[in-house]
Amino acid sequence: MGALRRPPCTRQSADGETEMKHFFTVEGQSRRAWLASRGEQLILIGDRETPVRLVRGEGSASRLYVGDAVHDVLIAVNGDSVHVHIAGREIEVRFEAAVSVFEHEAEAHGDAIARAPMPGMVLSVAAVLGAQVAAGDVLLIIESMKLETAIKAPRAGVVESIHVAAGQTFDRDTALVTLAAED
Amino acid sequence: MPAFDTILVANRGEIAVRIMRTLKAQGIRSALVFHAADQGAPALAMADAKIEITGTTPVAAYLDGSQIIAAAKAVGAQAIHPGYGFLSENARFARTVEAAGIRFIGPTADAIELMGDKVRARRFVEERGFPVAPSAIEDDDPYTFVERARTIGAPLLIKPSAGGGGKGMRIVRNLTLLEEEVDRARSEGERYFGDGRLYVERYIERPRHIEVQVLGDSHGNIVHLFERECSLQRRFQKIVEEAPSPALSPKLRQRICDAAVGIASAAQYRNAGTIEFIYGAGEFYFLEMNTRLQVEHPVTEMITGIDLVSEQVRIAAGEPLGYDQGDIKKRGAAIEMRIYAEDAARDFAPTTGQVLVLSLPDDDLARVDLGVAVGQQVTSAFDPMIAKLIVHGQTRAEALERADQALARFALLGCRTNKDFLRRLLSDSDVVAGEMHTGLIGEKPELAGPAPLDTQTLEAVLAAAALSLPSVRDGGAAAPALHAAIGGWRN
Repeated sequence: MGALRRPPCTRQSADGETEMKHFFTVEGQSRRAWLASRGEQLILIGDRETPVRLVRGEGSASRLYVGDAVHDVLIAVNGDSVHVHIAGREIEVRFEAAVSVFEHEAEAHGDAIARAPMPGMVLSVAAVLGAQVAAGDVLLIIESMKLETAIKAPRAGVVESIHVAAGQTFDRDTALVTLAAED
Repeated sequence: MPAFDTILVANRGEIAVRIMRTLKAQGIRSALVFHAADQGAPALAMADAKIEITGTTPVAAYLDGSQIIAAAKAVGAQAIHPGYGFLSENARFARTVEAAGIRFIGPTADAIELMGDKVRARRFVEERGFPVAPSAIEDDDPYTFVERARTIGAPLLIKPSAGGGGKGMRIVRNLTLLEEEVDRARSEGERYFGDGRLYVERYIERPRHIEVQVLGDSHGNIVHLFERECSLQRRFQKIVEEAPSPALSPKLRQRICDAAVGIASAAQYRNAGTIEFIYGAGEFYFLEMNTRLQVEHPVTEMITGIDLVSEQVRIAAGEPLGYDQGDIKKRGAAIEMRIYAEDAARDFAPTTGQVLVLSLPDDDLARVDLGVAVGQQVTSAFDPMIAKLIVHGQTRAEALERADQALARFALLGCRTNKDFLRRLLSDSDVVAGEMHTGLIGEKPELAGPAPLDTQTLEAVLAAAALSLPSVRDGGAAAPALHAAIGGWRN
């Protein structure tokens, strides 16, 4: 693993209080937001500060005020995931723990992890520990629902670890094979 | 006075609910077999009697005919409704059920066998003068199979002889890959159907999938209930179906429906069945016959006003249809949207999760055939189709409008579904114009999404998330400890 790079996570507000920066994933894209409480709650995205308020209604229905806009939403929270139904759309917002943010940073730095694109089962493992693979080489064959799918090396590298075995089931995003960073 | 007082439903999910709804309306007691993985499902809440079945996997339980027949006997059921999938097209099961003195709600085992062997069915249909696409059949001469397939010319479609439902099917456009694709199709056929035999057909480019619903009684009467178009597919799995097909002129509709009745008559078909055709360049070819209730049967019910499950039960009880072709009228247009637990933006990968919120469109906007309830876990143990929304309009345009409204109001939170994708699909200009073919979704990858988020929505969902997560809302009380552990990172 490459050295961890450190994203900014806190900052000092004008009155000297520490504010937390939070990492979210929205529709597959990483987003950063700050939530501050100064009498009312403010969400800070980029340089914009917007007053926000959430008024709970019946069940999962809520009314969300963001600046001048009002949204009727349904919200469900499951661990670090927040599912929001807004304007006829379903959007999942995942709160990323700092550790997983670092894992992604490490990947960006050189390690390549072949992850499960969907839940499924390992049919066979072609990758061999320590072996050099080229981009596109088949690392393993998985089955999900009705289809066999080959998991291929995202780039050239040396197989550093194989996290699964044939017959094993896995969830989406499970790390399957790690390719070591090339120097 | 119904002929059956108790019927066992040998299925799960939305179709079990759908069948029991008709049984209840008719005063017939419903018994349901269930695997523990379906605990909490709406079907269980509806059944008058429930019998747990077990298996090495949840699916294996629903495929275990002997447990199901034993359950039917235990509750005194006089008939078994198999739904679709599982044992619905298993001739041996149908035979064993009947031998046990229980009525199988479906066709005769012989008809299932004939139509279940895709190669035999094709030959049967061809010999009686109905159109089929050019093909090569492995069993005719295994040694020359690949050569004969090559002779038909690309593009080709490889299919398992014992298959159905699109499993194990592969399109070959580059004939140098033919052997490789044949091997892959064979391995899939062996795994899914325990049978690796194949056949190859000329693949009709940009085809439309049009099928005809038929009903036959045990007195030799056969009628059609018009066609359904199911061209919006992905990897041969139907996603949206509608009736009538916008592709057919009245004359062509007559021809295709007549062909379907002709095929069903030749097979002396009894019960509900569907004859599927491929339609392209003005010609239609027989694809296969499904000897069961189809997933998409509701669109036919919507335009004809006929309850197909009720008809299946009456036919199984030996009653005559009691009406003629001329008595069956179609009215308006209907569209069914299949809600799948899958992530369109991640190449339609199946998703899992607990259903946390469920909010449905009003009854007068859409019929909702629902297989899950709040609190239930959507797992990868079963097919990812978890609900269907069905709308009707006086015209196709009105049906499309209502489809979008129904989708906008449908919310299932906790497990990602394809509903946003369905909304984009149904507003696609070709779909709106009725210009569809089975490759449409594949040709328009932008439909899969994710759709871009405007700043206002992004801000709103981030605010919703931040305000809903206690750890964020309350200033991240847990965070300082983490900071201490990893070091003080400040900018």
